[in-house]
Amino acid sequence: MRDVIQSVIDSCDVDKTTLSGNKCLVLVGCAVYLDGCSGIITFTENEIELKTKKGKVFIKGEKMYLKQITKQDIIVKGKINSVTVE
Amino acid sequence: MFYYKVKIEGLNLDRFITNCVKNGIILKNVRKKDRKTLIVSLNYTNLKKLFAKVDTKCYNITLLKKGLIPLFRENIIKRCGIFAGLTLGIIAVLFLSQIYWRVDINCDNTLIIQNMSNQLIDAGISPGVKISNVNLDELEVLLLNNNPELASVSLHREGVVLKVDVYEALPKDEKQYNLYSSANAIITKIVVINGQQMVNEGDIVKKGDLLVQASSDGKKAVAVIFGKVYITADEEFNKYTYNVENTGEEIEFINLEFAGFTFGKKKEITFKEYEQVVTEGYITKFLLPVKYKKTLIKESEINIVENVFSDYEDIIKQNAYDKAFSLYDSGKIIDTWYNIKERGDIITVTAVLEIEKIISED
Repeated sequence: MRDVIQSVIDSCDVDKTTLSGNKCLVLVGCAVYLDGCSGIITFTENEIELKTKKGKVFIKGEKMYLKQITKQDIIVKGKINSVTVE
Repeated sequence: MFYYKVKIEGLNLDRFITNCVKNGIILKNVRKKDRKTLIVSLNYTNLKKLFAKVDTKCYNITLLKKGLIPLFRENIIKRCGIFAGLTLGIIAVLFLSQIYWRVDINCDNTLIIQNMSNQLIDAGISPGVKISNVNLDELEVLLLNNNPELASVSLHREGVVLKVDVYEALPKDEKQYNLYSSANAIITKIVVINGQQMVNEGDIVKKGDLLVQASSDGKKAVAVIFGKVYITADEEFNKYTYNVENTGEEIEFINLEFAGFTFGKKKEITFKEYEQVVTEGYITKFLLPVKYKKTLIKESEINIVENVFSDYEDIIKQNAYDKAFSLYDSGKIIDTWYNIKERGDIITVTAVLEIEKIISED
């Protein structure tokens, strides 16, 4: 899964950003993939606050849920409105 | 299909998720229903890890839905006795179907059956022997060699039963020492030197009928028996001949064909009988080659000429005789005659050769 997403990040022209050294792929309005997530601080349908080694990541949206969460990465699905870093 | 759907109720569910992740549990489709309720999907291995590694005392965990495969796995474990029994049964059936459970010997003679049974046991063939260890062809040859008095032995497998069909040979003495008719004939003369005469002069016999039986002392029947044998052959002839005569004018039509289209006058044949002469070719006068077809129609009439059989009768009879003679092999030709039959236009001439010859054979 990681490799697949990595290859997607490397090849596609979608909005790709490096958030505080963490690889992050945002498919606007659809899903967020974050590599290097070390925990969840807040988790609701409209707001998710994630802990990474170098800070916090805020995801705002509607009807969000965690498609998959492992030690290394996390995939958030739902209507994504914004992704911000603190 | 592969995942369990689990409902987790309790406080501080975010920490619960973090704990799970830290313990290497992969969670899927994590949805928060309300502040205290979480719905999670996870496979069997991760479910086991959840109960083993994460402190679940503070949470109320309910299994909502089982995946098909986990359900199947659980059912197998629950009913392992039945599955084991079934598997053992199948293995047993497979194993037992590889063995001959019965050997059937079919023969009218009980002595032969007993003898054959003993020979099969000596050859290692008895109920319980493995099917793959028995070569039926080799066994057939062995049994025939051991029993030269038998006509044939046939072995075949029907499921787990080995069938042995034994055919006894007819007593050689009886068959070889009698005399039989070699053809369908009327007996004309009998000279018996040894044996019991079974037919009389004037009797009609068929091929293979017993003529003289060997005497009971075992001596061969010796006799010369003559019989009348008839050889027939047919020759067919059409008694009518046809003459075609031109009776009217000759009419000529020319059709031209170009690029699939035909130009020219259509033929309308109104004659009763006619003869057509068609010639085809290409006209090169035109810029493009045009195919032409010339049809010449000759008005004619067919006259039937009857009673020509008498003109050809001798030739037809000779042909029929030659055909019959080609079937003749031995003996003396006593008489020859011809049967003539009429059916419609066809006349059939049958040549009959009456032959006297020796018909007795071993």
